[in-house]
Amino acid sequence: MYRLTQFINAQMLWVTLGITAIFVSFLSEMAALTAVVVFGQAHFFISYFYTHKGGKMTPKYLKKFFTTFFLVFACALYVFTHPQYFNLWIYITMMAFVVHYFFDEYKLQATEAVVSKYIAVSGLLVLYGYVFGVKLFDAQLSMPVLVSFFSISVAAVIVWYLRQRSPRSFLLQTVIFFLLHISFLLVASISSEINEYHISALIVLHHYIRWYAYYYDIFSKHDHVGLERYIDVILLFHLFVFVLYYQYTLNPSAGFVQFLFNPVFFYAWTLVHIYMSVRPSDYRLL
Amino acid sequence: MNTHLQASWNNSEFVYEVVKALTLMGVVLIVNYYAVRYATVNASLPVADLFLSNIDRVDTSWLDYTGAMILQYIVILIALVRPKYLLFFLYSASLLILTRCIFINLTYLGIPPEAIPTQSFFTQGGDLFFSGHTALPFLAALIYWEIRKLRYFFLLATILFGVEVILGHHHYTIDVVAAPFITYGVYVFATKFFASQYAMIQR
Repeated sequence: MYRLTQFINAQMLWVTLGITAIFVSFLSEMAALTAVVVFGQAHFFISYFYTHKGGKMTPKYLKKFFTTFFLVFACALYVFTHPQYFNLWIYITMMAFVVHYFFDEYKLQATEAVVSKYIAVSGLLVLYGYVFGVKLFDAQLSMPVLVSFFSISVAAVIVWYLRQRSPRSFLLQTVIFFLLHISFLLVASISSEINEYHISALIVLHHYIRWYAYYYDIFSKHDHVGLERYIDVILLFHLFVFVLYYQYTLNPSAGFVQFLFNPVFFYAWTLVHIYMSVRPSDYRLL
Repeated sequence: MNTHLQASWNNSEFVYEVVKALTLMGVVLIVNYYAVRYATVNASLPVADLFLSNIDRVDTSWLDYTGAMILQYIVILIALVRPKYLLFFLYSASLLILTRCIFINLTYLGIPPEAIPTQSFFTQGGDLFFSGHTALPFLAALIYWEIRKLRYFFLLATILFGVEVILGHHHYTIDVVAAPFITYGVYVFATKFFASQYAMIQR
């Protein structure tokens, strides 16, 4: 039964990744960025709502949140007034997001791995860092460098796999998942059609879908009343964000909505969310 | 809505209801944007007015825009510290704005002479009858009527903005004079239509 559950979970993982990749491939650069920003703000609002609902919005949490918020937004305001640093700002945010994405995937896939978690993620981060760097800073793609980073990331995944204490057959889904990402990055690095917005849209949108599906799964198994409420919350917060975004499109330079949807500030919200959602237990070394 | 909902920021159900009300307000503001634009595009010729024809225009643009924004932030601050009024305020303000969207498109008054219309997301000059600058503070006064300091503050704001829009030739006199009466009607209707939210204020 556990094998069947793992198999179904693996199918969902690859299917959601595949569907997201197909969806993103039809998007223009602006549409990809818009999707990330709009669905992203909904994701942030929902996460804060459930943090509040779970009683975790304590004075300590709020102190941490506002400290992070002011520091990150100070940087964002600097970038906003110095647009030459915008690409660097995207780069930093996306690197932080890549780590966040893969560590969250470990949790979502209920993968036990400890120290070697860092090995696999480091390998992927190196490759993501190179591909994002080439795309964002219009650098010349070097095939030897790409092949080197590709080899490092594959080796990292293999090392991670070999070091696992859990039965390895259960980890195949994660290995295949990593290899799918590596393959995608290879294609993306060579293709001029795929730019940094498409790459970020793929992992960012997939991340949102995975979390919504994860909690849908939990509620549907254990709490049907909670499931209805969960769906209501998801729909309401998305509608709320769509309405605010529509207002932003009518008047992008005025009002508080620009602090939600202007890309510079959106990346600031992303960094705040990543920091606030860190689970120390997921990052322990032993 | 749960009629016994506790109006507290610690209550996630209350937060959910606030988001619902804000979503409605957001939709109404989008409708307002298009209604105002349509009214402005279709504005006809100016008409004579008892006060506007006899008073020179005074530049009140700072008060008209920035003053209104400051008042908006004060309203938000009050809502944060006195949440039991918030839901009813959002729903009745949404109803008032929607009512105004209809009124401004019933008769296309011309923009008053010498007016320099404030251009913003909320107004574009041709949205005249009735004055939103007068109506919204008056609605706030009605909602916070039990709190005397707030009542007088918002009544003062109503008078201040009413005088400002006439002096600045942003509105005809009738736009300002009619506003409190229409607002009162909307308020009474809202107490019936949004009874659950109104009941929260009474508790």
